[in-house]
Amino acid sequence: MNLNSLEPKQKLEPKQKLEPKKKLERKKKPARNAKIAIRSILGILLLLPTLTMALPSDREMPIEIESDSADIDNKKGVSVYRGDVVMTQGSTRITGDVVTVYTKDQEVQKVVAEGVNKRAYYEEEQPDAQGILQAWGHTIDYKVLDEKIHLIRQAQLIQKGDSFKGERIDYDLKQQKVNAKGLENRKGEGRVQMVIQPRTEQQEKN
Amino acid sequence: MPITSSYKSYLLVACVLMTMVGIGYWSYDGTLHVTKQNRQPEIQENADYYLVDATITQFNETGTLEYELTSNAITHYPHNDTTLLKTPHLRNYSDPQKPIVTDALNGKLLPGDQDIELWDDVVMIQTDTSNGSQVRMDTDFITIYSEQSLAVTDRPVLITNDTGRTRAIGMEAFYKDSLIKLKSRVRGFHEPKQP
Repeated sequence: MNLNSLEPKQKLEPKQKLEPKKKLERKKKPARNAKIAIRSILGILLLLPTLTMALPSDREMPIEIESDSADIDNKKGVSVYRGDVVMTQGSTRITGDVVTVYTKDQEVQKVVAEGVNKRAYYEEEQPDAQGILQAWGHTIDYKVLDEKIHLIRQAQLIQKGDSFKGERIDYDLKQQKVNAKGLENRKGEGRVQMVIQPRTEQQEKN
Repeated sequence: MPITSSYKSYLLVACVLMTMVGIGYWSYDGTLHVTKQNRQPEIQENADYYLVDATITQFNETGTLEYELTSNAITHYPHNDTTLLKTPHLRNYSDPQKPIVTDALNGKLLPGDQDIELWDDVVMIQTDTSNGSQVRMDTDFITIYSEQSLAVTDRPVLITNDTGRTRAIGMEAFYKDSLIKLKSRVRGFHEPKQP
């Protein structure tokens, strides 16, 4: 098909006939756009509560726990889970050989994870896309109500690329504060080791 | 008469047989006797009583109420002193503050009428009378040892309470002490208390 053969046809079409069409289109477009805009706003408004509800705090999420065996003492409010224990609550994940859950009035107060040969492990997704907080220790004492974790024996914590190692690390999840302690009367391996990654200006602003 | 070769071979076979008989006699244990066994008495598997819509009330040695058991049909077999139960409904009062109600499709009272086996759709519900909270256990077979206040199963079990549920295979529930030991494959789901 020759392209030139089309041109005369287009040129032959009277302009007056085209104008009303264009006008009609122009009149329809704002109305259609407005409708789309209203619909999308309504959609966003409808979605907003679900979007905000889709990211609740881990503490409000259900706890799921898997283990080989368990002793549940309802009188004392203590449940001891043994053997390849995996506990999850939202983005929080705790693993260990023995995990003890302390409850009071059916509310979880404290979780203690213990690792015998392999250290117990804790991870949690940090708010504001700060990445995943990872923590290790032969004993991890997680105070759920105070939002504090205590890592005891061969403690290690990694957050945003920063790494802390020591015999004991106390971490405040709310304030994101680390308090690391080394072994007393021991030099070298007993000291606290810390690796802080350099921050860019943008990161510092955030 | 000359001794032929065939006669020789007959003699040899006879000698071998004689030797075998001799060895057999020597090794025979004279103390071994096969006596005729006494015939076992025929097991009477017929029921000696049958009750419809019956209730059994069991008290312990001190005279306190231990349990109440109602059943659509109770059949007692004297040969092994067991009682079969149809749709048993058991109310256990070993801890009066936390009574336990158990239902099943079938059951059996074991000799002594203390221990009970329940099977098919077994549901145990323990209610704390002080606050009304309940713990429910679902399984398909359980043995209840009344004296020890112990319920045992090796089958899959589902435990449900006000805030969650736990699945496992095998359980020992010391219900008087509110202590549950889960034997394997524990899967717990706990819904936190909503503010």
